[in-house]
Amino acid sequence: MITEINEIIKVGAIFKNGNIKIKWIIWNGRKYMIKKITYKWKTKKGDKHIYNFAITDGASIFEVSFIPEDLIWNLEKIHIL
Amino acid sequence: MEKVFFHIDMDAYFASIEQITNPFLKGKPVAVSGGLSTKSVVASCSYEAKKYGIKSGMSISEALFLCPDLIVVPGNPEKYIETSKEIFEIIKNFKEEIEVYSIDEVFVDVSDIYYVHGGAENLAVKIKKNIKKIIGLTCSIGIGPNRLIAKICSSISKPDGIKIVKTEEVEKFMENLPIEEIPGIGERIYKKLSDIGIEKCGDIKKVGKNFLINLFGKTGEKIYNYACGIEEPLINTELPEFSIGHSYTFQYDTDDKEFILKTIFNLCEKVAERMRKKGKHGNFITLFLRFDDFSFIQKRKKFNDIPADGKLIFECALNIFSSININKKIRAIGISVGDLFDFDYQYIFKEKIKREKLFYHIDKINEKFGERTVFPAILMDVSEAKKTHSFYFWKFKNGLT
Repeated sequence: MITEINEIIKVGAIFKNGNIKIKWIIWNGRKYMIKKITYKWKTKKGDKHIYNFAITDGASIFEVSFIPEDLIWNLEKIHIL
Repeated sequence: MEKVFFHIDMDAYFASIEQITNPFLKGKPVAVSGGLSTKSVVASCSYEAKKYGIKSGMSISEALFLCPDLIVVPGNPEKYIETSKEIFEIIKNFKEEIEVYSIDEVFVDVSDIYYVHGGAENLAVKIKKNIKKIIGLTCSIGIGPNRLIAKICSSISKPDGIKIVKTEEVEKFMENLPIEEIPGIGERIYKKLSDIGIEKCGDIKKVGKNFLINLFGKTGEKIYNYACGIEEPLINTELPEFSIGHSYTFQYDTDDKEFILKTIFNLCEKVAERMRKKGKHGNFITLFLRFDDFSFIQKRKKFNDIPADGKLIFECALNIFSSININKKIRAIGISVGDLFDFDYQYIFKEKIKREKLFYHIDKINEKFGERTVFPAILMDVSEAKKTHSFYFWKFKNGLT
């Protein structure tokens, strides 16, 4: 089941050599350790570039987006397994 | 120089992307649809779902009947479009000029580069490896002396395969090819041919061109040429565009007149935008309505010189809509402008010049910052209707049906 969330969240990520590696996210006061980025794709909203990631903690898939201009991470959806 | 064409076709494209995005979907029957409603249709399905007889275009309820364990995932067009762009860039690293046939299909004329890579098959392996490594998806590559043969080969080699047919092998290859493998042979033509015992391309050759022309008119000649492995124009840029249309299937059947009219307006805006891109005006408008009981009505009306202006197209569409007595809920709506012609003269009235300038700038902004960055305020609450589908493209892909 996929649930739309659309909430700003806290993310721990490493930016290295043009790559973004997401380590953890905090949502609803709970910290989820990220095991893998399963997919990533870029989109645009107006003149803003958005980096989208599908990430997993092994139990759920989170779709998060990052807008570099605003330095905002957003939790878009959760795929509950 | 011997001509060598590649047809690169991604395997179960949308479904494969969803299976990578969510690894828990791997190995499971998955269908990607426009929405989660059972009224939506299957846009793409995984090979596991295909085993149950599920096909693109089938309604979700029908697909669930065939496979109750089917996992239906709502599609994410932006993700698929962006992934396509990345795939095309990977292919362009090998050959700059590519012919994009659809969101997940590309033709490449590799005649001048394949030998540099140690032969056509080696080049195909390299392209497949790069796509797999960078994107994580598999594709099938058909290789032939023309686009038609390449396309048939990629279809036969699915999934994750490579198939080559050389010039000298074409005749033998086509001889035993089942007619349904020919791109564009739809159900109607297939049934007509199989009813008279024509099952293979070799049978088509035997009955001859004139027999097929008598049966199908001009299309008969095309079928004959295809069956002989002769390429007719396959690329969309070479096809004349007779109409431009968009359609939309509601998530839920509706009789909310305001919402229906806004959706029609949205479709008209999209049609107008495409007409402007092609520099076309039209003479006919067709309104298509499908109702909750699957019955439908299609009304066509002539309006001389319909400009590429969403508001004016909407006024014409509204004229047709008002003439229809509707007493059922509506499931889907389609609008098309037909009898297109090139518009290459200048307006002389101030108001029209003003609107033309406005459209020019809106189109420029949307081109630069993304589709629908600027759109009429009245459409603010019909965001769902933004996800419309082009039935022009559907018609093109099913050219002979």
